[in-house]
This record gives sequence, structure tokens and C-alpha cells, in this order.
Amino acid sequence: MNPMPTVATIEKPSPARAGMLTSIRRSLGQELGLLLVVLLIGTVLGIHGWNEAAPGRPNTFLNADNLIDGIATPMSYYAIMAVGLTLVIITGGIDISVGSVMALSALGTAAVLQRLPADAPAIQVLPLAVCVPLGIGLLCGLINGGLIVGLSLHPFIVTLGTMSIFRGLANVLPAEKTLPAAGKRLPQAFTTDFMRIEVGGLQPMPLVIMLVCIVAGAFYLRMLVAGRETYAIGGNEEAARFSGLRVGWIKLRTYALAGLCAGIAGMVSVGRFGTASTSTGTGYELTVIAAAVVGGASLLGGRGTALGALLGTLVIALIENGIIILRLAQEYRLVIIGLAIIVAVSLDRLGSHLRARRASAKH
Amino acid sequence: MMNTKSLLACAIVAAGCLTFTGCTKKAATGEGGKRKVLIGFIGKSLTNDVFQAAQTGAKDAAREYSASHDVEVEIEIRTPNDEDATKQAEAIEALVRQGAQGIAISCSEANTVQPAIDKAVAKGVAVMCFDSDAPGSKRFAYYGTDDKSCGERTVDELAKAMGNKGSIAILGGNQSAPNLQNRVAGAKAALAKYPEMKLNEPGVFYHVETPEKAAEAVQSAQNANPGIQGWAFIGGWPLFTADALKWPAGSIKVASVDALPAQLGYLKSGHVEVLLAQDCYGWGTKSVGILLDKVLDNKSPADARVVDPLTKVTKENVDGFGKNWEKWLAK
Repeated sequence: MNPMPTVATIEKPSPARAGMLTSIRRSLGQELGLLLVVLLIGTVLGIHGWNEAAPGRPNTFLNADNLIDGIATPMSYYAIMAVGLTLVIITGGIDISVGSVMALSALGTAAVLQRLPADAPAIQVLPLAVCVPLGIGLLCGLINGGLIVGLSLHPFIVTLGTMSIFRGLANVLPAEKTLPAAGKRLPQAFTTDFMRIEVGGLQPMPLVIMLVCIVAGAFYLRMLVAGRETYAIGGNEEAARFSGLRVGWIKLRTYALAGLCAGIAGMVSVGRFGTASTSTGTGYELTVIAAAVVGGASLLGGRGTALGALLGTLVIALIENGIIILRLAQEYRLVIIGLAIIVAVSLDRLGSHLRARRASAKH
Repeated sequence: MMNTKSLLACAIVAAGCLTFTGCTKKAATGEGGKRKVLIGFIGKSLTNDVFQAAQTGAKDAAREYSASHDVEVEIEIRTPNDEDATKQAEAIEALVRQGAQGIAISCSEANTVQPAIDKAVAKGVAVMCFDSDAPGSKRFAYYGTDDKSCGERTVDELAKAMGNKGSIAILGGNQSAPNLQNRVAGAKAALAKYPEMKLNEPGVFYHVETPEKAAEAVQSAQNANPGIQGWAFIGGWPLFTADALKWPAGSIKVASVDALPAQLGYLKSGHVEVLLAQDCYGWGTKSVGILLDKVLDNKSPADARVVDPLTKVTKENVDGFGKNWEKWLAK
């Protein structure tokens, strides 16, 4: 029988619980900070868009067309992959193969779907359109995780290798550089009637899928034991191992989920454009890593959230959209995004330093 | 550090600002009350000189047209940093939202940008392609090279330099690119006209489309096949590097497509006989002209495919041609 709790135990949470609450409070503070940055950029662009608006035309930034088709849709692939990569970064790992996995998933989907007639029914098309890219992504993730865990290799080295292998497979497996092949079309049940379905002249499906992935990622990290285990091995892998956690299994699962997210991004891309090519997703891994880092994921492990991944991607998407709205030369894009990464990480470091000083002053 | 309440207060204030700025207002018209025309221009990548030249051409054409007509033409450059067809599709959508009346695009992948082109046309935007076409789309015109005749012309010029006899090889670039396949087909077709010329087996050498890889491909092919007496480069890739051709000048004849600044030195040194320059500055000037005819007068070219005849550059006119680049690459 459990003893009756004392007053002390009721009033004071256990150290572990207190640590978790501190971590949640810290991440909430970080997300609010990011939200503030988003609103600040939005305000600047909104004012500029109001000034720039042609006679009788809406604010060039603050209109549904720009906010959904100009920002949310293009950022959806990055945000979906950033959720998966955030999980990996929380464990203290890295996955730079996500762009290649996205390409392989998109090409695999196009290769399968082009065999169906263009007017094939949704019941026949959609299961394939969903299962093929997710299956390819999951398989690639399992390969990454299996190599990292099985061979005890550094994640950067493994995913550097698989990035090249998956991209190479994307180049050699299909006969053509772009799919569907000449004269063929992907079934419209997946493209125009699903991924490009219009609601009030907008195409919200990529946004919807992105939000589903963010909610699923947040639920996984916050509500499930599996999510807490992810934080545990990122915080201190040795301690987690001595606590009885199956570190290898947790890592394998995490890389599989990152691959799955890249597969979902491939599905969104091939559905939206109706094509996939050997160059799909080239260089996307760097933007995804940037989004995760700006979103608060620590490359040292143990920190990061799904909402942070979304907000980090949104900051980058707003910068890209802002370059268009402010009529700046495209050449500045990479410079500004690079600066954003350095500023975000520096502020994070500064915050950690100040917190550590305050904590030592208390003792 | 700010506490949560302060952050929330700031967020509410910012949200209020956003709501306030969400309304519309009257904006000024063009200078002197002129009608404004916004033209979007999308090349393949900002890292390629030919698209820098095209962008200069587009801006020059807009400036000249605005000075001589009662219209203010504005050019909005939306070329991605690196080749990415999805970014091009997004750029088309962004230009439509911005209110562009015309768009000129060189398609990295026709299939990927086609839905965006068709959507723009459906919204009343005039779209044309330059350099790289999307023939299946609803674009109303194309200006650029005819790939088959480009390949033919390269071999014809090489044949002249070789006295219509000898063993040659073709540098083919990326094996999967449709435009390059057409150039190779044209080159092979032209070869049939010269009975004393033949392809040195395997004949066509493909490679990754970077200057370094192309130079390596030429070098290793020449080492493995010393019987090659002439090269038809259907793209100028190896000539974008220094010292790509390791043989004494004139001992092996070369004719190449493109005449970028980096290639001109090979003409002067005698390593290359002929360069066939694509009208990259004209991709800008002519495209803007064609678009303005369409937007302002609803006039389309008589033939939807306007073909650039290619400019022959040799040792005799290389200096004059080289001066063009100083203007074309001006920032």
C-alpha cells in the first residue's frame, strides 16, 4: 500500500518533474519569443504591403492569396521535414539525407502513379499516393537508423553517405530525368482533386497536411512516453542507458520518423506539381536544418519542439516572402537566412548563459 | 529576459498593427501619371552569366520602351539562386499575386512549371518562354535556340574547320536533358552530309554538367581515343574552365555552342575554331518586346516559336563580341 503523501510532497514536485516543468516553461518562452519575431516581421511587411498596394488592390503582403499560396504552401515541405529533423536533433543526432529521401519518395510515387489512367478513381489512386511515398521515406529512415545504431557510426557520416546514395538512386532508377514520362499524366484524383484542390481560389491541402504533421509531432513529444524518451537520450545518453532505456531502439525509431516526414514532404511535392524530378529537394536539407535550429532545437541534443520547428520554418518563409514583397534582389536571400541562424543561436546561447548566472547567484 | 505577460502584450500590439495594415489604400500610378506595366522575368539560375545577360537585356528594353512610350515598364527579376523548377513555379505564382501583366521564363523543367504557367494564363497573364521551352503549356510564344539546328550548325562549322574529313566526337552534357538530346540528334544528322567524316566510337560523351566534370570528360575521352581529330561541343561547359584543352592549339579542331567571356580566350589562343553564341542578351530584350506587344496591343508573333539564328564568333570578330559582355554583365 502506498503511504499517505506528506504536505512536503504535495507542495514540492519531485526534482525530475520540476526539471521537466522548467524545460517546458523554457520552450514555451522560446516559442513565444519566436512568435513575437514572426509578428514583428509580419508587421513590417504588412505596413510595407499597405504602402505598396496598387489602386483598388489589397495589401501586397496581408492577403489570403499571399499568406496561403505564397507562404504556407511553399513552406509546407520544409516544415514537415523540420518536425522529423527536430526529433533527430533532440536525440543529439543529425540527418542531412532528408532532401534526397524526399526526391526518392516523390519519384517513386510518380513512377507508380503514372501507370494508372489519368481519370482513375480516388479509391484506387489515393491509397497508393499516400502509402508509396510514406513507405519509401520510412524505409530510408530505417536504413539511416539501422546504420547509425548497428554500426555505431556518427549520424553525420552515415546520412552524408545515404544522402549521396538516395540521390544516386533517384538518378539511376527512373529512365527519365522527370516523371511522369512524356505523354503520361499523374491521376487527377491525386493532383487537381486532392493536393491542388481549390477552396475559394486557394490551395490549402499542403497547409492542412503540414498542420497535421505539426500536431502529431507535438503530441508525440509532449504526450507520449516515446517522446519523453527522445528528450532523455538527447539530454544524457549514458544516463538514459543506465536508466534502462533502449537507446538503440529509440534512435532507430527517431530516424525512421524523420524519413517518414521526408516521405510526406515528397508526397506533397509530387501532388502539388504533378511531377517529380531527379533534382527534387536538392539542397532542402540545409533549409530544414536552419528551420529546426531557428526553431530552438539544440544541436547538442535534449531540446526542441514541433511548434518550434513550425515557427522556425515560418521565420525563414517570411524572410523569403519579405525579399519578394520588399523587392530586394534574390541574391540577398542566403545572406539574410544565414544571419537569422546565427542570431537565433546566439540569442539562445545568451539566454542559457544568463539563466546559468542567475541560478549560480541563487546558490 | 521578458516575461510571458510582456511577450503576450507585445504580440497583441503587433497583431493589432497587422489588423490595421490589412486594409487597402490608393497607391500612386507610374511617373507622370503613366500607365504601369509589370513584367516578371525568371531565368534558370543567378549563377549563370547567360541569365545575368538576359536580365540586363530585359531591364535595358524596359528602360528604352518607357522612355519612348507613354508607359512605365517595370521588370521584376525572380530567378532562383540555383536551378530549382519548384522555385520557378512558386516565382510565377508570386508574380501573378504581385499583379504582373506579363512573365518571361526559361524553364528548368517544363513539366514542373507547366501547371503554374497555365494557372497564370487562366488569370489573364501573358506568359512566354525563352531559352528553354514548355511546349505543352499555354504559353503564347517562345524565343530561343532551335536545338536540332543548333546541333547541325555545330557539326557544319566543325566540318568546315576540318576540311570535311576526319574522325570526330560529340560532347553531349547531361544524357537526360531533352534539349541536349535534340542537339545531339541534330549533330548526328548533320554528320551524315559528310561522307569523309565519322564519329569516333563511342562517339558521344556524356557528363555531369559542371565545367570541371566536362573538362575531365574531354581529357579522358581524348586520352582513351587518340584518333579523335575534332570535337563538337553542343554546350560550352569545358571552356568555362581555364586550360581545359590539353593539346597544342589547332592540332585538334573544336566547334562549340555558347560564347561566354570565359570561352573567348580559347578562340584567341587558337584552341577553338568557332563559337556559336546564343542570343542571351536578346532573351531579355526580345522577350520584353514580345510581351509588351501582347500586353499592350494583344499582338502575338506570327510564329509562336521565334528562333534565334545563333551568332558565329571567330578569331576575327572575337574582340568586338567580347565588348558586348561588358555591357551585358553590368550590375
